[in-house]
Amino acid sequence: MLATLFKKPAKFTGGIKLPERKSLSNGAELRIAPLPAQLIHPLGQHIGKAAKACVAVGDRVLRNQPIALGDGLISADVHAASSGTVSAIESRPIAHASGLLAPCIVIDCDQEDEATEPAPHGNDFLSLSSDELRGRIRSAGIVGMGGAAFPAAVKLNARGRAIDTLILNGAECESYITCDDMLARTQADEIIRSIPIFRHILGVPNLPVIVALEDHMQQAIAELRAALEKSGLRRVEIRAVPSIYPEGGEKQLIQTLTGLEVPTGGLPLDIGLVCQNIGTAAAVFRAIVHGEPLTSRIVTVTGEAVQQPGNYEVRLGSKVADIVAAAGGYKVGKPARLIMGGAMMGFALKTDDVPIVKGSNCVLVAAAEEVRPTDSTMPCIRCGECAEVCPASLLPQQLYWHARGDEFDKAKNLNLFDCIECGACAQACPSHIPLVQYYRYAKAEIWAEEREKAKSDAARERHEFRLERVEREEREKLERQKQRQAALAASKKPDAASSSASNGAASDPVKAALAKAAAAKAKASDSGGAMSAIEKAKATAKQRQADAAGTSATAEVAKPASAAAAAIAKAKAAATATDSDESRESALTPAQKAIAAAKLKARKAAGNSAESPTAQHEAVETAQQTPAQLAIEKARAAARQKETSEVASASPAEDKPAKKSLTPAELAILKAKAAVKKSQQPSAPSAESKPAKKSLSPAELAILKAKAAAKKADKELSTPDAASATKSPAQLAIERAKAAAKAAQQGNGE
Amino acid sequence: MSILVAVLALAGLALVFGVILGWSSVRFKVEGDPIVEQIDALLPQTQCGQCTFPGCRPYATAIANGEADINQCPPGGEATIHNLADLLGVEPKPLNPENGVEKDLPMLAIIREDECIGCTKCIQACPVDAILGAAKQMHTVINDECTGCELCVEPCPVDCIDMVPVKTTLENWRWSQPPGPVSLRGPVKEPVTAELK
Ligand code: SF4
Ligand code: SF4
Ligand code: SF4
Ligand code: SF4
Repeated sequence: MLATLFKKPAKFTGGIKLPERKSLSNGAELRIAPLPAQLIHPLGQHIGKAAKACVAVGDRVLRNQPIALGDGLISADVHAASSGTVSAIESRPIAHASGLLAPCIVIDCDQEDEATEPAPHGNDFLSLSSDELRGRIRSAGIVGMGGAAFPAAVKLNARGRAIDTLILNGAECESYITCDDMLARTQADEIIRSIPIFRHILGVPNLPVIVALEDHMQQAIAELRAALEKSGLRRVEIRAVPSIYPEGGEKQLIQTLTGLEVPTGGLPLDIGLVCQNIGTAAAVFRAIVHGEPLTSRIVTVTGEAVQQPGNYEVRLGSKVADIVAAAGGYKVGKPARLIMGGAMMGFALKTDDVPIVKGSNCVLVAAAEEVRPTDSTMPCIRCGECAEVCPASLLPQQLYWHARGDEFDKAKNLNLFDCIECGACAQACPSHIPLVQYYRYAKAEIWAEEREKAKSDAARERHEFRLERVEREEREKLERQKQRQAALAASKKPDAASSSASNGAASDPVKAALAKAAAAKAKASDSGGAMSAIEKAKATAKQRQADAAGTSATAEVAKPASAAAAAIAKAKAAATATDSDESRESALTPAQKAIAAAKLKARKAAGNSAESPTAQHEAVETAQQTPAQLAIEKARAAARQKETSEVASASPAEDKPAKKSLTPAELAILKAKAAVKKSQQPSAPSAESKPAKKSLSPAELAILKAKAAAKKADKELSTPDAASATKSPAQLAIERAKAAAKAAQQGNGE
Repeated sequence: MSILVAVLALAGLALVFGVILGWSSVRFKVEGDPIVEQIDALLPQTQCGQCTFPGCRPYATAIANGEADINQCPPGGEATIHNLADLLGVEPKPLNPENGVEKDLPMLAIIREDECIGCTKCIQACPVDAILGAAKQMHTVINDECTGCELCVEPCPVDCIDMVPVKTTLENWRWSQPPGPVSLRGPVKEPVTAELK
């Protein structure tokens, strides 16, 4: 790296020789602009987030007092440039190409220029840590003074990278501007004495430093050399670079000084370099050693249309009108154009009512003969002059065509974002095409597109989140509803639950099912019985199944759900049975019960197929005609159904229409279910609940139940005692059960 | 014998490739429908429903299934139709007037807060949860999140929601295209930079 320092200066590619027009302003001594009557401090004078006001309207503020504090990492404080009263915090026109308003703190100066106590400062900065020093630079509100206004403290953060050269940039290449020249002439000492501070902050005690000035700034170079000699600093080089535009561009200067190229989209830090403007260096020195925040700067006021062009020490916040007045005012009426910044990179102001900010280096009051008329644009003749001069080695002509045709993707692919908007191409263009404006336009469109994309992505995310939330809320509501019902049922029949528990044979899912059935019934009776209890129960089962399908974790729920449907059916059956039958049931053997149940089902199925749908009353009657069999069928259920039938009888009005609305097929299904339940409960309750785990619709469930019933009957018959005692009836029962199942299926298929 | 060897060899190969294919179909499974994703990415996500579908994604799905035309999204307008036409390889066509008209400026909902009665109806209507408020409390729109879909305007019982154009700020201001010798966008009068003569 050291070798590159002493290498013959390389030259950056491209570049253009400009008419300098610097003598207009650099002949006169530095003058101090008078304190204006009013100061306007925009909150956003830097790259990054705008600062936040920390004073209120009516407050008296002193010079150097912070009036707005930096917000976030990349931001900077703003300080009052003189004493006075805050008269407004509002939107005012600022120096921006858009001419838009931005929030500003307005101070009515009292002309006393009373300052606050200086912040902690001194020459002993070596005892402070790098972070403390950067903190002081930040709270002094220092930003890059070359024009970009990037917060200096952020730029001085090496972020663990090895730094091998510091560059102090005084290569003021734009025509007209001489403020850095003036600074180096008047404050060479401060610039040189800032070097130890930077070295300490960057943590490299002997960091090589290059102070670069353009070769025409002879007086400034001499002053700096003298100051350097006085300071006795080593490894500092004052280098004159050729005057060619845009030599002062950071990347171009680095290329000239070191021969290195900053990678596309990268920072000088990536190649071990830190670059600061000499104005920033002087401000850092004053902040650290004198405790002074940034409240004034040197501004070049120049152009053919101003009376006394020259460099002025101006309080930040002064209006352009104030400093033009300090320079003797406009020459002849209105100037042809008022430009903030240089002729190349500056922008036209719509009013002189805008304040000078930290990054304002020049006010160009241009006469008509100094500016190119805007209507002189002619078609591109594809001469290629623009590409010759482009310091970023781009293809300006290509970029121009794409920007004009709104082909932003293509412009982007041609490295549009490497363009530093120097204006060399536009200056060289014989057709006077305002090329830079096209590039700014294209960049702005691409940024806007990116913003829109980000916004629509955010909207999509929020929309999806909302859909998910709505769904979740619905689910939770259902869940709560069910929990309430269950709680209700549990509180209604605590004794019933215990009695069924004493039954011994009843397993937990069965209990739960009964509770559910009871709850469903209770609900049905509450709602007035518009829907039959069975349908309600089925609906509940369906809901539960849906839930089970939705959340795999609650797959278990399916069990009580199907059980609920079955239990309801049982409850129905029990309701039709007479209580007196209970005594008889107990006398029967399981085998007999099974046979009876199968017979009943068979009969039901028969009645089903033989009779018209309206004959369902008869079907019910048939059931009642054989009370004994019916009683058998209810054998296991009865004990538990007692309470359910209580509910049923408690709402007879509701229960009856329920019965009426049953089609024979449904009835058959129900019976089949009841049979299943009964025959299955004593033997193997879990065997049946397995298929039920799958989330089935009630119809499918019924078929399964019927099939299971047949199987169950089969099984029970094969138990030794039953088989030996009643063999042929048992076979009969099997057949009937099968028929019943088939009938149930058919009925279901209707 | 040799037949057997050949058959076995082929069967073995088939098995090996079957396993590889089966594995890769699981391993490299493409989630969702990529064409729907691609279409959805081009839609403006205003979620306004003017396309007659309940949101941008359903519209994207309908386009992918050939159930909807590409010219039904007014918020996206010409640009979206062009992008969709590019993506799907069809001819662009003008926006279907039945779905609405493209707005010149992006819009934003503003609640006149002193008139808001806190009914929460707008919150329920907003597809992107851009409205803040609680029952009987004043409601307000989060400007950055509002897509300008206008769905909140209609449900408001006291009509206190206005749609206003999004303000130009320093953040969203853009340079305009300079007037060219034969500008494609017609002459624009705004000299913004100065060049030396
Ligand atoms: S403005 Fe951009 S394209 Fe033109 S010369 Fe400068 S860097 Fe190159
Ligand atoms: S210098 Fe101007 S006329 Fe020549 S190629 Fe470039 S844009 Fe076209
Ligand atoms: S019209 Fe466009 S923005 Fe509105 S929902 Fe349909 S696709 Fe989305
Ligand atoms: S606030 Fe209104 S206009 Fe904005 S996104 Fe929500 S519903 Fe649409």
